Amino acid sequence: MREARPVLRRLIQGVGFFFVLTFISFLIVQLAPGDAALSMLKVDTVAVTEAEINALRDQLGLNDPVWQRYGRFLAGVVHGDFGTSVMTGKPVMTELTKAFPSTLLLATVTMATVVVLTFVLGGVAARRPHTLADKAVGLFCMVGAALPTFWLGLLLIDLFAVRLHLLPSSGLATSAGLILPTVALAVAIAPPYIKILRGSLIEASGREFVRAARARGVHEWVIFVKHTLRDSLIPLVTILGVSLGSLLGGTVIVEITFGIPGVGKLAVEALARRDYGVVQAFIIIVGMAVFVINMLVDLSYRILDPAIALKGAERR
Amino acid sequence: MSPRPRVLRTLALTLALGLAVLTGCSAGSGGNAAPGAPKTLRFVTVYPANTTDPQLVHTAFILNSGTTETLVGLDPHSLKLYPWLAESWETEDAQHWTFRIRQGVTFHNGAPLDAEAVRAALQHALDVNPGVVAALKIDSMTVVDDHTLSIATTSVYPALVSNLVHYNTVITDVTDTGDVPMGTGAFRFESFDPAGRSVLVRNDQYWDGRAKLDRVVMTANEDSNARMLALQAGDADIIYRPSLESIPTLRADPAITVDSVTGTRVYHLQFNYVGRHAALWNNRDFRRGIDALVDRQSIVDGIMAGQGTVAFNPFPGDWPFSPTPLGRAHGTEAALQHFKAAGLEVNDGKVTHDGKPLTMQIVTYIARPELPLIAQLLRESAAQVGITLNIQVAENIDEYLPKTDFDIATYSVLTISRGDGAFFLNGAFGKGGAQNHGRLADPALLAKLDAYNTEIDPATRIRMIKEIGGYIEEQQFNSYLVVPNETAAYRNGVTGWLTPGNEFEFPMITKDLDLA
Repeated sequence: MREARPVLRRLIQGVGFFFVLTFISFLIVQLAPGDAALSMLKVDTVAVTEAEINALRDQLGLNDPVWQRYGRFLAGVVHGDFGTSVMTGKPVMTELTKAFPSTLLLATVTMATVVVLTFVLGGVAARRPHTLADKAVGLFCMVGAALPTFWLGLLLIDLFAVRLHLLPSSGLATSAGLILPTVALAVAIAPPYIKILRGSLIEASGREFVRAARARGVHEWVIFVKHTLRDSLIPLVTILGVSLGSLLGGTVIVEITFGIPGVGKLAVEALARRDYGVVQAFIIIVGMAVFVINMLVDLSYRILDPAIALKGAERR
Repeated sequence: MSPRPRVLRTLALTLALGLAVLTGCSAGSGGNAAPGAPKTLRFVTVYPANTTDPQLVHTAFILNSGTTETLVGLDPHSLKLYPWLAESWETEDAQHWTFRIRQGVTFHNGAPLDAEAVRAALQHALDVNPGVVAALKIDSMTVVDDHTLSIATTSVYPALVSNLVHYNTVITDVTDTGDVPMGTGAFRFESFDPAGRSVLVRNDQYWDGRAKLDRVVMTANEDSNARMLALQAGDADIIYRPSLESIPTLRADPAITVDSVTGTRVYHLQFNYVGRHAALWNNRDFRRGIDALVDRQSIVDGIMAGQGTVAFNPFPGDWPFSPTPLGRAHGTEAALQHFKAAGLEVNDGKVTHDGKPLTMQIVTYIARPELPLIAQLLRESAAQVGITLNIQVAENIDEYLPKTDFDIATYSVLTISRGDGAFFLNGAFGKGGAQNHGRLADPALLAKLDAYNTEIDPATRIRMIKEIGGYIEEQQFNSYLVVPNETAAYRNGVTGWLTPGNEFEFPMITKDLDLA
């Protein structure tokens, strides 16, 4: 029962967060300019009366009190109904469902690439600190963090698509289309993780239990994997988890640069076209995804470091 | 080699690479440089489509693209209706209609156009678009045979035919589940990105003859400067509606032709007949006094840089339904005489009402940049006779006016719409009409409107519009000021372009359009 409490607490927080998120996205649309009834009736080209306008407002529920409209909106959200996209005339969920796989695929592959890059480069730099290899990794981190993603994306397109004709410049028609956007994103995202892992590994390798293991003659590889790496994972997992959440909404620039039909591109287009239903759904879904991922990250600490769970139990 | 030159060289290479990328990205999409290359015309209009659904879209982008057609067309020269996808129509009571659908027409996907396809398209429009429900007032539709569709309206409704010109009543194959509208026009969509560019390619099976162009790249940009720059830079062949300020510059460019035609909307002043100054606005002499303060010609010459025509009634011009203007005198003296006749006190050239100076509110909006300037001009003229006009700028005039106690509103509306006055007259003067922000309810005018709304004979309808227009001017119900021109600019070499009188009722990309 005690083990379930943190999960329960997080779930209650999640419900509160959901209400805040839905209310904010509801308010955005309420405060946005434009009368939906006037717009739908095309008053600038169709002769309509005030009575017809009011009848449509009634039909759309626009004359209802705010709390009733919020209640209806909330009920729709709970049932996965975000209304109809004015951009396409199709249900918002259909549009998002169509766009989400591209973003999820890009985010997942990017995250996997970031993890690989982090472990390889962070590990190399930590194993041989202050050597040429460490300095090369440092340079990579500096350049990667400094380059704007769209600029790197354009450079990659110019080199690999336009000049060398090796990879497609845009779209996800083939799996090769995933390479350039993934590289553009991973190079920009990986540097802080590499730095963190390198620092954590160097710090952990000097700890008492590592020295004790070494004195006992335990193999260096076993020490690295079982003690040093595990001890270094907590700060890394924290920041990786947060990044995976923000990646879902943060691939916007790359999706636009590489013409990937993901939710980021959809949200930007929806914003330009005042397609608020899509914007609302984007805010809520990405917001909740970030929350759930953060929750899972928090809970994962208990597996990575049982001491955290024990501390929690002591406090109680 | 020293480190500094190496750094500089790297920097230069990076810059060169960047420039190469940028220039690669900004290369024109069209271009007909290579001999034998497809003839591609690049057209930049103003408002983009907000959806790919032609029966739902909020702008006329899809109709303008020449990919879709309506049952009834509107001749841009005569503003008369003509049979388009409907070969003919008939009715005896203006409530039960029979439309003969044109034979030998296919949609871009090869499906034949028949009465069922037309019914399905109109039904889809009614299902998704309340504006179409209000415009068509259809009660039921019945497919009589392959090419005959019977339509019953909810009441006697002679305006049905003219409303079938509306851009949301285009006939598309609504059973096609593709990403682009499947119309019957001279061009078909190769790609359609409401937020970006759309590529149109010639429909070789077009029923009314083969188009001269192979491809058209159509985009929209609401920034008039961006449209002008696109034309000047050679990135566009035709731009619709350049800004008034840019017209002299474009005219001075020998590579560019500017084409202006008289539009079908009228800038005017609406008066509030039910507000705090209702007693004054319901006095015809007072209305005439305010009207006399407006120097229409100076609006055309000064504010509109000559790109407009003076108007005195809602249907100006030489159209069959245009009343002969009464052409009353304007100026301070004429205004004061009207104010005196209205019962106001006039002393030393200043007007007072019940011994107090008059202060009124005029509401304007910036979507039409000339309207705030017209409001300023009127404020200056009114000040000369002692009337203070406070200017209020609204973001959305149609949302603002019903919520405020205004006196005067600058307004712009299509008066000659779809070859018929029904839209304007009912919207602007009908009881509770959406554009009747001043809540005018003149019994004589309403009676004339009722008679017009049920008149079936087209010739009689024209005579009635003319009479109503004359009555509105004579009674000075609102002040009709100026008809702005509609303008397009295109590069020399473009042929077959016809600038329409408005953007709502005509295809702009036509089979006759060509590039030399």
